[in-house]
Amino acid sequence: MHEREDAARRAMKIAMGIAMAVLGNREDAADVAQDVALDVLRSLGRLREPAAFDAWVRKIAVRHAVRARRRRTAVGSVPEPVMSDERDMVIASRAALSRALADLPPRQAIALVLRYVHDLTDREIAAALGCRRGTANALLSRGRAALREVAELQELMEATR
Amino acid sequence: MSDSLGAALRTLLALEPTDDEVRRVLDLDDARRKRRRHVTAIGLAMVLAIAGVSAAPPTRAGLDNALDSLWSDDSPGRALMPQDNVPSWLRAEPGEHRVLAEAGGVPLVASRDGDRFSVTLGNSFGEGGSLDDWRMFIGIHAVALLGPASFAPNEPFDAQGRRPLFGLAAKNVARVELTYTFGPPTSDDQVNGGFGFLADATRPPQALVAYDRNGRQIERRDMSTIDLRVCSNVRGCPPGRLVPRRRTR
Repeated sequence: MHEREDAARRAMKIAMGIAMAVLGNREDAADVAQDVALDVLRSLGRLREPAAFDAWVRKIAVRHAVRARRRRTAVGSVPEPVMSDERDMVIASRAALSRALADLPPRQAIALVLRYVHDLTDREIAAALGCRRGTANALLSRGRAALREVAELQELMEATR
Repeated sequence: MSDSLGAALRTLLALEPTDDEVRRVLDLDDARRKRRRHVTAIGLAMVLAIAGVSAAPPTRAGLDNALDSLWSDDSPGRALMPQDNVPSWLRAEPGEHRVLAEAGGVPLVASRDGDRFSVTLGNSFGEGGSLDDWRMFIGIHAVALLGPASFAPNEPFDAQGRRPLFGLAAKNVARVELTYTFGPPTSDDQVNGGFGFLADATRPPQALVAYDRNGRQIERRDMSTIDLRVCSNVRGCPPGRLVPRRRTR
């Protein structure tokens, strides 16, 4: 029982970070994390090497997050119910980074998360994304460059120093 | 750049699932396992017969959520009354209007006209969309926050710094509570399809918690990114500027 719960929790934690980067809000990220955790629990018995758990979950999470982003783009924008016409709702400063990430191509956002949050090497990022090492490196460079151009983020960078 | 970017990303993306979210996954997985055992036991011939009637997977749409509450035939809430504080245009709108909740004399009105559904938060603002729009917004959740309203134009707060806050709730939700990073929570104990209360805008919200009639927690949603203050009262606002992080006790 504990093994299942630990696996679900660990999978959701990994998936939430990746999905949050691609989708930009916690609720959507939680939905993706739920799907990822269900996939993981369904196939847990087939995992031969426990040490490969994280890498395996990352691959599943990348697939689900990219699919969710495509689905959202295809459907169009969702209502923003917590914003009023008076624009009197103030979103916390983290929203700036969240928005900037969500505007990036999904694979760039995921590459940044895997590097800076999960501390993965280029080779591990390439494995999660199913691409070559050079491609992973290029995705990281382009992602960093895109974020550098977001003016709001400069303030955030200063604030976190 | 990289160090500060990494720090900012770690702050933003270091998310943990809540106990309820993990529990829900385990419950869904349990349901799947039970179905599999059942199907295996009765054999292939019976599988074909049963698949259509009792072995349907518990899809998200099948879960009790706030969307069901709004689109059911037994309309929640009460009918709109002449004395209700709503925009005049709303009364002229076609369709059925129901008051789902009230807070400080400000009503949350739900309107349904054919396959379009909209909500109006007092005199403040409205939100409308098709069933699919609302399904995407509400998802599988038992409670969904709509937003704050004002008592009157340019009057968002009462004397205690509170403002009306509204949301939608599933049929099985009897009580909704807003917790803050410090101090006592605010709650609506008479939820009927929607909830509303006077939320304290001076304290940072933490979570929206839904309970059933037996006091059992149904759902807990993160509200830490919500800020009920008004821009003109906050340094660094309005939009386009980063808002300074508010102090939490």
